[in-house]
Amino acid sequence: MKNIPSPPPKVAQAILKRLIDRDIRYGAMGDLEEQYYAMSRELGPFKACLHYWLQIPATLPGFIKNAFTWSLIMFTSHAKVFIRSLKKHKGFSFINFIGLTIGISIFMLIMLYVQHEMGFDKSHKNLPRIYRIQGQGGRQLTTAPAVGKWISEQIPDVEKTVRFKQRNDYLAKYRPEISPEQEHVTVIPDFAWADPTVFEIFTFSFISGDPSTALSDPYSLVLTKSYAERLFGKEYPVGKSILINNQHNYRVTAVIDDLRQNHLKFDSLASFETLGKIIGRRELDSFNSWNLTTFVLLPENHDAAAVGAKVTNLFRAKLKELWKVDFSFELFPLEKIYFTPKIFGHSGNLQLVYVFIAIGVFILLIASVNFINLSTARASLRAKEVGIKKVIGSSRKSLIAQFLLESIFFSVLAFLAALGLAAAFLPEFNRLILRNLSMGYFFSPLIFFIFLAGAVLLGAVSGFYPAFYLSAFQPVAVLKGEKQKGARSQVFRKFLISFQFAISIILIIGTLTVLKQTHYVKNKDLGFRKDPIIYMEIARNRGIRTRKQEFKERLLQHSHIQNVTLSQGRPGLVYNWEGFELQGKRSGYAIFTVDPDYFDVYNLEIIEGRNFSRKTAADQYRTCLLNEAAVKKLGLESPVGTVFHHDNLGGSAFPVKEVEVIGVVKDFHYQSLHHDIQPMMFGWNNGWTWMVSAQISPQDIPGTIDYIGNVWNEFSPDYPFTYEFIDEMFASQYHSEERLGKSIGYFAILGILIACLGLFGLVSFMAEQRTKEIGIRKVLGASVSGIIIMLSKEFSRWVLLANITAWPIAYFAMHKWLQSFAYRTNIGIGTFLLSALLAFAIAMFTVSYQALRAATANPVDSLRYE
Amino acid sequence: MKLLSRIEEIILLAIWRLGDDAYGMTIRKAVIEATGKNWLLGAIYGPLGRLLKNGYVACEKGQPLPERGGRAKVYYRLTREGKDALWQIHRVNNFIWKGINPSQFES
Repeated sequence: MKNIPSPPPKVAQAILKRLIDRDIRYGAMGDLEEQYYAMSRELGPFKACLHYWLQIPATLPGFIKNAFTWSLIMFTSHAKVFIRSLKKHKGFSFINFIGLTIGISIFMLIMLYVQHEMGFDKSHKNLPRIYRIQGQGGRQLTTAPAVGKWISEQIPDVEKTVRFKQRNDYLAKYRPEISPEQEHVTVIPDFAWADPTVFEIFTFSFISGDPSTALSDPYSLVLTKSYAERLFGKEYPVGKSILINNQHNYRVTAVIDDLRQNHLKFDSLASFETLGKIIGRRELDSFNSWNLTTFVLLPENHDAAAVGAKVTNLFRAKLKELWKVDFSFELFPLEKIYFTPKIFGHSGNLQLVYVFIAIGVFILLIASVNFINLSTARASLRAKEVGIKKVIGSSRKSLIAQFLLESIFFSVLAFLAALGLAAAFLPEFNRLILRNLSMGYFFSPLIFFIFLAGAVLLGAVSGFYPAFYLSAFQPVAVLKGEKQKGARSQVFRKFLISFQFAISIILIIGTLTVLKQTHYVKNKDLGFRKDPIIYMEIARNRGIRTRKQEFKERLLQHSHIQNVTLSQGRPGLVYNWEGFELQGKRSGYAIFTVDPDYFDVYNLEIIEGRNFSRKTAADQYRTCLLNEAAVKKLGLESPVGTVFHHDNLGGSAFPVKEVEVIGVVKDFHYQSLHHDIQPMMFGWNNGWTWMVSAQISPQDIPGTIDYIGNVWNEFSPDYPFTYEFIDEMFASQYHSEERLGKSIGYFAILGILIACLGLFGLVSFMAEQRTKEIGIRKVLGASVSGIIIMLSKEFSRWVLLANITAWPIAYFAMHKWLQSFAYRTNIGIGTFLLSALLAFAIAMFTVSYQALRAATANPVDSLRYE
Repeated sequence: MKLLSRIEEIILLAIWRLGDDAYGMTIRKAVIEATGKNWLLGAIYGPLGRLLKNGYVACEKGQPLPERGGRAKVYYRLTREGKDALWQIHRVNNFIWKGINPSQFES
């Protein structure tokens, strides 16, 4: 050969080498090179080179097919080994799987709740720019209609203002044109008015109607979808006319989607202009009634504090004149409103959300620790498998991959099972937390991916130890049966066990304390009769409200109705505060407007002076009774005969300048036990009573209620009869605490269950490992009890350690929680001892079952294989 | 036994026909002749590798040659299993073509 052509391109050669199967690579590379030289001679080096490169895509299909076949074969082999090892330790695998599944599903349910609570009001596009106008420090959440008007007219920094007023239980009537005799009557639970700007500030999705004009005219009404369906059925609501409270006709102008995760609560929204027509334009521009909420929309770059100061300045003079106090306003961000207490609308419990997050993380931790613990323990049984694989020629890399993949597969499977479990228990969970959550959240790709990634990570972490530890074994040592040093991992496992138990103990202590406190507040003597008293609201019921004395007398005719009183509100809720002057000092009091029978119905003791008397006409409007707290706060030596002064005669329960104290009422808890007893004042004003309370005999309560219902319907046939028992109402003040106690209780039980599953698995594993040791001990004369003690001694040490770590944490947490009550039980050492005992008993029960089995086994069985 | 794929069948028959001269280049030529399509050399090795793994063909090395970069030619020949596999596919072919007369293709 004269001129030797250049060899084929190196890069292409290297690639081809990788792509062609090892077994035929040698021959193939030779063939390719031979062909290359041949082509280079005939067609020139360029074409030969190009052709050589072209071989790469040509080999690809074969490469892919082969690679796939082989990894599939390896995969089936791995899967086979995996399934065999699962089958060999059925109970163990089951415990491991079920523990993780329960843990993840609880975490999922809790995340559902948390994201639901955290998502409130987040759908408003202007969210960071919306603020509520309120008194500094949240002292006055409602405002007068004039406040919003002045702000929008005089503070240019505020882009938009909306006034939002809400009332309950309005009666709605609709008469279809086609069949007028079929009248639809429903009660609108939440009826609200708002300025047209409401749709520019908040984001609501319109199904029909135009947001810009929906609330422009007086007597226009926007309905939510579900309410419109209730009233109109399948008819198209827009343009129809509804009679509200038998007084005014409203025209439906739009329908919006139901409010979800929105602290504002309304079924229908009327134009604010309507109020001007009903109560008069002057009233609408006044400072008389502070009973609506004002929201403002600020520009993109704003300083809420500065605007708040401007609002304060704007009203300073006016409020000084009205109330004789310096009142300052603040702007409270909408983002935070949901988690603050409020009079109207939905309100969430941030504390409960935090407690739930903590519990969710705790349970997930317990379950993960379990999973890691059990996987690690199980993996050490597979040392022989690893040894043999290594001898046959398995690389360390493929062993690591095998172990990691196994545990990842396992945890992903548990994640999928947890989805099913969570879906199955969601209705129950919804009942517990009084929400209406759905699993839809998990099927948004992002969330699903995050959870899946979490499951993969958990699998990787729990597979990490066996993967790297076992794969490093010397095959010779393993196969010879030499003991692997595992002492360190055992300590680690026990540490994890005591960690789990510590968490469980914290949960037990939490449950016990919450239960104790709930029991305490529900059974504490509140200082007044709670049952059986029925109360009915008549504020919006014109039929009864205009003839309430007659209604009262009719009720008293029934032999089982012992006494009836008319009052302003029910005990537990104060509607009215007024300021009075005494000896030149001005202070505010909670005012209860009642009639003389009130003290008898509620069995309140008058410890000084006298009750209002019907015989003395001057008692009405002009006299009052104080509670002990008020007497104490004022420092009065002889309260009876003291005279209060005030000059705010409009909108007061006492339309006179001087009010004389005629008696003192023994303190009673008119608010929930979260609060101290505040100073309060009773007045008698028949015009200011909107609540009927009837004290009834315990006999034949249904009959009595029937009677009341009949009388009710006689007075107001339109208005549905609604009533409540006082004791139920009071119990409902602690629903949130009861829910908390129940939820923690359930979760504590599940947490302990998962921890016990782990303990059970671990003990059976250890007993199995020590079968021979136990056999030899028995042969040498150890007793059954001795062996049980030997096996359980260690665990009791770790459970003890768990107790010691858990106590201070639990104490601080529960101490903090109890601070939210003005009246609270003490935590007590008993709770701690009880929870320790419980944890101990459960742990010992779990351990002793396995220990007993190991100890009673016949040593011949365990030793004969040697 | 798994049925051979068409390309495996063609390659096996080519190796059989080529007898002592069956190596990459000649096999490719035979495949091109049989199918009338231009097979790239690289595309032969996927199926060939599978045939080798399944034990249908065996290989042996010849003399190293300079035009192969100093590598030897690798010759392939059929094994007993390869012949069995071909016999099986032959029977299947006969069966599925039974009663089909070539004249019937002219319509």
